[in-house]
Amino acid sequence: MIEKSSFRDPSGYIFYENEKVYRAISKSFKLHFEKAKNDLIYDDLIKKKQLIPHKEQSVNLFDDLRTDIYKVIEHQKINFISYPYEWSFSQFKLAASLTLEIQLYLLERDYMLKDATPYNIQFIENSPIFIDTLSIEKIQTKDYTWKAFKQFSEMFLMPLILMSKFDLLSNRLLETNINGIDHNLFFKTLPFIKRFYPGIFTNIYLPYLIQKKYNNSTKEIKSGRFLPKKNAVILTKNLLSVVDSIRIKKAETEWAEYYEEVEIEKPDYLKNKIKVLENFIQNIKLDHVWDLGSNDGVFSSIFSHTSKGVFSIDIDPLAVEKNFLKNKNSKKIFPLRIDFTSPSSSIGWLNQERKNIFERLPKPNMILALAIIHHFINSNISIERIFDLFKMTKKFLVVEYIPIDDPKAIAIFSSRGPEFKYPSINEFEKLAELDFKILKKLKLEPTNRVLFFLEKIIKK
Amino acid sequence: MISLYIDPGTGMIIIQLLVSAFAAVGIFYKRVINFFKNLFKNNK
Repeated sequence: MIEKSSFRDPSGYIFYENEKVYRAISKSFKLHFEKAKNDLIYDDLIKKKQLIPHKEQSVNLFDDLRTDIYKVIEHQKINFISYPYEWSFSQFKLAASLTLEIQLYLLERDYMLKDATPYNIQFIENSPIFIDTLSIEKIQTKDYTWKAFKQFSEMFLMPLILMSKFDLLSNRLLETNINGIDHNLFFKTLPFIKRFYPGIFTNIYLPYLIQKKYNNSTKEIKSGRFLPKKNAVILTKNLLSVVDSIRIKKAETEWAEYYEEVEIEKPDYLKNKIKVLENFIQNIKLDHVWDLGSNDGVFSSIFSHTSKGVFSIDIDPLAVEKNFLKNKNSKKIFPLRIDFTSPSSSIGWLNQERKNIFERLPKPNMILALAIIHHFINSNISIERIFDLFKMTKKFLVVEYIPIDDPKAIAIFSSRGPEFKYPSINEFEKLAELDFKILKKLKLEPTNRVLFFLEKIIKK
Repeated sequence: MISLYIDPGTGMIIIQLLVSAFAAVGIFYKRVINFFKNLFKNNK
């Protein structure tokens, strides 16, 4: 089966067979592939864990290859494909830096990346890795112009700057702008004066001005010009230092500070919750876990030793950022920024190019939904519809019921009119029992919150 | 309005020549500042 998003690049395409990932390489790319192989470019980058490993396969093993295919390589399979609009700031920045580091390494060996998109980067055990082997091209003239300079700016640099200087969620713009952020949007969003900041002026505003000038003129540009290697190296090094200098303001958000606040208020509550969870998972076999509303991942870490992987999901970009910085070295916890009331959808050509989140996230056998149902209810999602999400678990669900008299619930719902109905614990329990068996029920002292340990009823 | 590519070949070369020239000035400037900073530190 051919990967539906793999149609833009004429050099080859990705396909799947027997759960394995293959890349077919076309004859037109033969020269680049063979040269890079002989110059040990692939070996080097794979050794540095910057490029996804591959091994060559015989073309004869496959039927139905496109007629122009001369070689097939098999790639290491990636458990979960994430998209840039689901990353935290640091994940995004790491992806941008890796792209530039590879570009710099390649330039020095007379190669370059022919494109620069965050979709070419994935995370394995929280480390970024470049996955598009066919993006590496041999430079065959004395011209080192980077074909992907504009794309890098639109897909990496401008989103990163907007995340830093405008809004931490600006990477979500990539969901509506599949080819990146254009200059007009960027300059309208940013205060006028900021276009004169050194990194922005040199790499974004200056190219924009030149482009505008030449768009309006009919003057012939002298041919025979080329960009010397030295200049290309400076350009890339400069971009690297610009990306490196982009930081986020240490703004406080309501939820990123939540646990610290709770810990001060009710130290037993948090400790209690951690302890009962630890006891519960002692005797169960976990594969993937979804931690919904994970905040900075405080509960995700409970599962990190015994599960295959924890998708630690939160709506607050700063909480996800904290989570990522805290768990950068974790091989199991993967922080993601997802708003379940508006999760990543299918986008691109025929809506098949980038897949929605539920098509990509491995189905868990444990969903953890702590202190989150009142937020869903606040978005006017009925409790029945909330359970539709919970039912995605293959087996276990741990959910915290927040009563309406809870201080946090009071803060949220006090202004609601008489037509608003909050589910009582009995209603909640009844609904849960339609699809789940209640294994354990536990009041979380000193609050009135109740933790439910549920196991899905397998219906025949 | 979506800005279109100018002639992809030559336009990109001119842009990148200028960008790299500006970047080089920036790098030179930083070096000069660092030189004086270090000088100042050593004298301390």
